[in-house]
Parts: sequence; structure tokens; C-alpha cells
Amino acid sequence: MGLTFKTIEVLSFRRRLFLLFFVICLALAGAIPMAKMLSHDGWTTLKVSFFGLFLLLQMQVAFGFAGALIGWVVLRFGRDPIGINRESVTSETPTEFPAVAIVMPIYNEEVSRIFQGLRIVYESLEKTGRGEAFDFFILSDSSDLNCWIAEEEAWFELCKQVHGFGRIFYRKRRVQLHNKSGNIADFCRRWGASYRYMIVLDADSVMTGASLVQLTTLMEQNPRVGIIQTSPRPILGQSLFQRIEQFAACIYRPVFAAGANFWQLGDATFWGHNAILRLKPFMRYCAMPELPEIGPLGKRVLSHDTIEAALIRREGYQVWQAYDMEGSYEESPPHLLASLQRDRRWCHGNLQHLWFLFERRLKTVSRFNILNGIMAYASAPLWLLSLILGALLTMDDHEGVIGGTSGMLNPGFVPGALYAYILCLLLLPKVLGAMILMRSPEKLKLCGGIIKVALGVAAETLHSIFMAPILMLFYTRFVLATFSGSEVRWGQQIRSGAEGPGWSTWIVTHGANFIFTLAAMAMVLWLSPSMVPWLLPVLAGPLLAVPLSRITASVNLGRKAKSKKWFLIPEESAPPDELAALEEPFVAPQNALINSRDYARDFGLLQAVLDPYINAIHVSLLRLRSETSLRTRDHMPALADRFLLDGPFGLTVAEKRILLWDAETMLAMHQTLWNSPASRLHDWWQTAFRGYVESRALSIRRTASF
Amino acid sequence: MKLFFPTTGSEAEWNAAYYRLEDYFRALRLVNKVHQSQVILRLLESAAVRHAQDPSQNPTALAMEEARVMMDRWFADVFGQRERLNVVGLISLLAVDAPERWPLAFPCGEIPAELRQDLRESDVRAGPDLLMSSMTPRPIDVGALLEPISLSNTWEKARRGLAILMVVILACASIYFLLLVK
Repeated sequence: MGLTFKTIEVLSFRRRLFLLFFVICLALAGAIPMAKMLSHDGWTTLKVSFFGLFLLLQMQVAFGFAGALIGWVVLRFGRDPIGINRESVTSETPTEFPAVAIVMPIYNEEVSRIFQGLRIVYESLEKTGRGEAFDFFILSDSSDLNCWIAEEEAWFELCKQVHGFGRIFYRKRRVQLHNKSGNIADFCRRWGASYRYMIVLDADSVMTGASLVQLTTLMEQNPRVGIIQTSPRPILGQSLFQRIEQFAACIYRPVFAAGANFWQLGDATFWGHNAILRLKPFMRYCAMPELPEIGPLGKRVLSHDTIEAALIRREGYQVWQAYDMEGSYEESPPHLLASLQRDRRWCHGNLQHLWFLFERRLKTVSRFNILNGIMAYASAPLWLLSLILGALLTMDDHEGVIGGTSGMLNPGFVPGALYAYILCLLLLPKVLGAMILMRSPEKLKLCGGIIKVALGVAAETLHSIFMAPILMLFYTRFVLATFSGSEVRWGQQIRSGAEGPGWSTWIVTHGANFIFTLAAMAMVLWLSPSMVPWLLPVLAGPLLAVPLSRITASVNLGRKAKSKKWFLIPEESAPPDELAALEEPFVAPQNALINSRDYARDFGLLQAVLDPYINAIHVSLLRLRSETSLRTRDHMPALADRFLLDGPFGLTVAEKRILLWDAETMLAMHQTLWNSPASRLHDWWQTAFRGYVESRALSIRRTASF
Repeated sequence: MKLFFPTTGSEAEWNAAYYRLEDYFRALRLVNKVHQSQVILRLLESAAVRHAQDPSQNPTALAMEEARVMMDRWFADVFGQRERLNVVGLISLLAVDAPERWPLAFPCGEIPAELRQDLRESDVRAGPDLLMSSMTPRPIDVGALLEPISLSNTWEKARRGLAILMVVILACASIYFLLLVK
């Protein structure tokens, strides 16, 4: 980077001081007129509470705006001279490349998509000529037995297709301790010492070979850097919801990311994937501690990435965001419900980070990053509270001094200029993002042209106005649920078709918020009808949430939007080779029996017992029993007999899992099954024999060369 | 032409054994029907000899056992004797696409040199050699700030307190609204 560690520290301090001053100025510009208005006829407890909240939330809004504005200046008037990705590395790639592990923790994900993504990354890496330095690890925590066997089969097939045996590895954990962070820690304990760096990918991540080589080179050139996080772009949006999300990320994220880099520099945060980590310090300092067992935020940390960044930073290693690095992609949730499911987990995880605000020796900026993550969710109840307090204030305003007859959101209460100012802070970053895009005619064309971009920004803004109160209500529920110690139950993963989840799912999802909003509107209508128009932007979202969610979840509408060049991103207009290949399915041998209703549920177990190759692959991935207890020696054959003689119907999922984990039993069952005359087996097996083998033979005949 | 005439066992039993072997070889992706039939006949003959010695055994089981013996012999010829020979052999066969590329070589017959080499060089491993190291978490140190709440039941008390407080706030808010309406 051409700058010393010390210089960066000094620059960081100055930039943060400037940002703080800027944010305070922006917040005061809104707070002072508000204070004048509130103090008109003296201060009351209600007014002080409202003003306190207003100031806090105004600071948050001002912080977002300041970041975007600084980002805009950086991008508009030339690149920031300080950044991890500043210097071209192609001419300086080290001759001796260090060993790098690319790890992908997975959990019941779509197998075809995982392995197609991995194939693309592998092949892209091979093209760089540096492929040999990289090993791939698929770290499975899948609890679904079908998924498990399908992953093993796909791993083998992938290795065959790309000649990746000895370079692509598959590991299934027996005990899913501490979820993803536990899975990564397990990898580190087993193989971490063999590698200098680890690149973490999510199941839906794709990174180009060039970006992986570039990340590794940057780490080699900067030995004091512990983590480099890329800024993955959402891609492959099918539903309208995804398309809007990816369009928003494409247009607005660059200004926010450049702004964040301006003040974060070597104190950036880690998002858990599409990033490279220096393994030695990571293993030494970043193991996740157990939290004190007090209240609902105790025990194990659910969300580990921000904390890992803070822990490695505490030991003097920098954390950078390569915000302008190309070739890093991810997919976004297909609809609002999937996004909320993810938010529920993140909310719990981020709120747990409250503990780390008090952890000794953490850097102030790391604490701020942690606080920022907490506020992403904790601000929702504060917004709701400020709305309620604002409504109470207006109703209390008998003299009409503050609110007149129109309420708190009325320009009479918040003068027109202040109203416009707050809107400006909220919405101007979107315009700034669009302005940056419009400076690049080529990119603008790839996004569908100036009119489509302008209309897209307008539509996205409208969508986000509707979404903001919906998310506020959900996040408030999540925060309350987290603190009350109760779990939000989402039931099974929703298998949605081209139209997304059905109406009933959306009605159940939004029902409580709808009733709450309707009641609030009825109360406002009763007490102060003139307030309703001013509260409409807040009320409309939750009231229209059901049709809005249903419409945006539609894949058909998403496709239509794409064909009409709405919410288009450059990665769609001119996709890099890697992304073009991602839309093709991963080709693996398919057996038609999986589509049979009688066999679909236990297809994985069926394959692992019946198919000689899949049985061999599965057994080869299991450890041999070192010693067998008497209990196991009696129990396993009895369980196996039940499975063969009675079919899978009498076995629980736990019993099927026990069978699958035992190599000797799997081998014995395979042998017994094939040795047994059909008459001695359960009907389920008799049909399976012919059905499975016939389907396999047909698929072979179709691909056979003669 | 040599015909298969078992001296013991019923026609139905030997047909069932034939079908089972046929299914097994299909599952092994042996696509050459002529080769498959020849191998099946050889196996049935060996099974028939054993069945004549012990008619209590089932022909299907005997035929499958003979198939496994034949495969193990073939694998041992390539890899030598080793642990889990059958497992190693099968995944190596699949890794190099042996049934498709050398349809006449498995599970009996002469092993082409190229196939032998490919099988031996196939490196099917789930993971590299372990190099165990530690990754021990350091306990979280929140300092003296939160010590007062470390009493085990403090949170429960606080929760009850919060619940009561919420009820009081709601009650006050309701009274306040009623007064406003008046």
C-alpha cells in the first residue's frame, strides 16, 4: 500500500475525527430546530424522551448519509489513495505461492448449486495457473440424510469431472457443535496448520480465480493484515424481490462501501464469507468464547464474524475491506420471508454482541463496529417508540403550537425545511449512487440505460419506503423475542414455486403486524384524523405487506422484469464466464426413483445401502470403529435387520442416522441386501431393486458410446 | 457351446440368482451385455458347484458371494492385499470410469496396463493428512462492569420486573388515552 502501519493509524484517527464532526453537525442541523419547537411551551418528560430518541436516531441516519456522501466524493473525484486493493498485483505475484485452503461450510443447501459453484471456482482458479496452491474443503453439517448422501455423490462426481481428487475434500461432522463457527474451528484444528491462509465461501458464493489469487497476493504483500473482506455482489436474481435487492446493491453499495473504507481503513469488519484470513493468528486469537450463561443472550455466540474481526484486530492485525475488488459474488434470499428468517438469526447473533462491547482491550473502532451491528436491529424498536411518542405529543398538543391540527409529521410540527432535510438524509444516498453509475456510460448501458436506471431507482425507493415499516415491526418483534428468551418459529423451510410462497403463508407471516397497524390507524383516526395522511408512509407498508410480499416473491414477474430490462445489473447484461456457467445445472448421475413418492423420503439411505459405488464412497468417508461396545454390537445388527426386513417405515430419523454413521453396518447391510432372495426382503426393497437399477442402467445406456 | 445345467436347486431359484447378478452388474455400470452374460454364467457355475455340496444354501446368496470373490481377486491383482479392498477397488473403478472406458476388463479377464496404472494412481481421499493443532477460546472478560448481574437468578428477577413494568406502562398509557378522549 506504500504507507506504513503508523501512517495509516494517524490517518485513520484524523478521518474518524472528521467523520464524527460531520455526523454531529448533520445531526444537530436537525436536532436544533426540533428542540426549539419542543421547548416552545416548556419541556415535559414526554418531550425530553422524544427528543432523546430523535437525537439518537438522527445520529444514526446522519452517519449513514455522511458515509454515502464521503463515498460519493471519493468515487467522483478519484479513488481513495489508501486501500488494500490499491496497487496492481498482477506484476508482483509471488513466485512461491503459499498453501491456501478454500473452505465452504454447508448445511442442507441445494446440492446441485453448491457443486456447480465450486466447479466454477475451481476451473477459474485453474485458468490462472495458480490452482495447485489451493485446496478445497466442503465442510458439511447437513442434518438431512438425503442431502448428506447427495453431497457425497456430488463431491465424487465433481472430483471426477475436474480431476480434483486430492485437491477437493469433503468432511462431514458427526456432531454439529457451534454451527458454522464450530465447523470452521473444526477444520482449523484438523488441517489449519497445513495452510497459511483460509478463504471462506458461503454455499451460494462464487469468486473468480483472479480474485482469489489477488487476495492471496495482497495477504503475502501485507504481513500485518489478518483479514481481507471482499464486497460480494448479489447476482442471479430470479424473483422480483431478488432483482430489486441486487439492483440496489449494484447502484448504492459502491458509495457506501467507499465511504466505509474512508474511515475504517485497517479496522474494517468481517462478514463471514468471500474473505481471506491469515490462519495462524486466526487460530490463535479468534476461537469463539462461550458467553456468560445469563439471560437469553448467553451461552454460545451465534454470529461470529464481527467478533472474529475485533479479536484479530485486538492483536494488532489489520482487517481491510477490498470494496473495489471485482469477481466476488453471492446470491440473495428469494423473497421477504427467507430474508426475515435470516434476519431472525442475525438479530439474535448481533444482540449477543452486547457482551463484547464490554470486553477488555478491544479497539474502540471494533466496539463501534459491534455497536453498529447491534443497532441494525435494536434501532427498530426505537423507531417504533419514537413514532408512538411523537403521536402522543401531537395528541397532547391542545394549543396547536407544535402540531397544529395535523400531527407530528405535519410540516406544522416539523417545519417543511426540517421534514425535507430528514428525507434528504434518508434518500439522497440513493441519488448519489445513481450519479456515480451515470458517470460510466458503459456501465449505465449495461444497466439498461439512463431511463431504466432512473425508473429503477424510483421503483426501488418506493419499495424501500414500503419495506421500512414492515422491517421495523419485524425487527422489533425479533428484538423482543430475543430478550424474552423465546424462539421465533418459522416451521419448515418453504419450498416455493415460481410464484413464491402462497397467500396463506404471507397472511400468517404478516397477520399480527397487519392487525397491529390497523388498530393503530383506527386509534389515530379516532383521536386525530388529520394525522392519518402524514402517517400513511408508515402505515401503508404493513397494511399492504401481504400483496407486496406475494408480488415481489414471484419468479415469473422477476423474469418479465428482466426481459424488459428492469433492475438490470452489468453481471446480467455482460456476465463473466463464471456467472454464465453458474446458470447451468451441475451434471451428476440422476436416478428416476428419487421422484417416486415412496422412495423420495429415504432415497439417500436407499442409495447408500443399495448402490455399490455410493456405498463404497460413503463408507470410505467414514471412520472405522476403533472399538465396539457390547451395546453397539448388539444394537447395530438388530437395527440393520429391521431396516432390511421392515423397510424404512419403522425407523426413526435418529436410527437411520445411526445406521449411516456406522461403516461396518453399512457394508454389512449392502452385502446382506444383495445376498438375500427377494422373498426375504420387505416389498419396499423388492421394488427398489429393479426400479433403481433399471433407472441407472437406462442413464448409462443413454450416455454409452456404443 | 457350454450350457448351464445345475444339478441342485430349482429353476426359479437359479433364475432369481441370474437376475440378481444381472442387477448387480448393472448397478456396477457394466454396459456390455455379452460380457455381462458370460461373467454371470461363470459365476452361476461356481455357485452351482457349491450348491451341490450344500443344497441348504440359497443360490442367490452363493452367486453373489462368488461375484464378490471374483471382484476381490481382481482388485487384489491391481492393489495387492489391503484393508477395505472392495471399497478401495470400487471407488477407484468409478474414479477412472473403468466400466465405461474398459468395458471388458472387469471383473475378470486381462487387466490392461493403462487401467492398472490409472487405478493405482487414483487418489481418492476425503481429506489430507491430519495435522492437529489447538484452537482454544479465551474466556470472555467483561471486567467488573457486569459482575453484579452474575448472580444466577438476577436475569429471571429482571425479566419478571420488566414484565410488571410493561403492564404498568400499558395501563398508564390506556388511562392517558381515556383522559385525552375526555
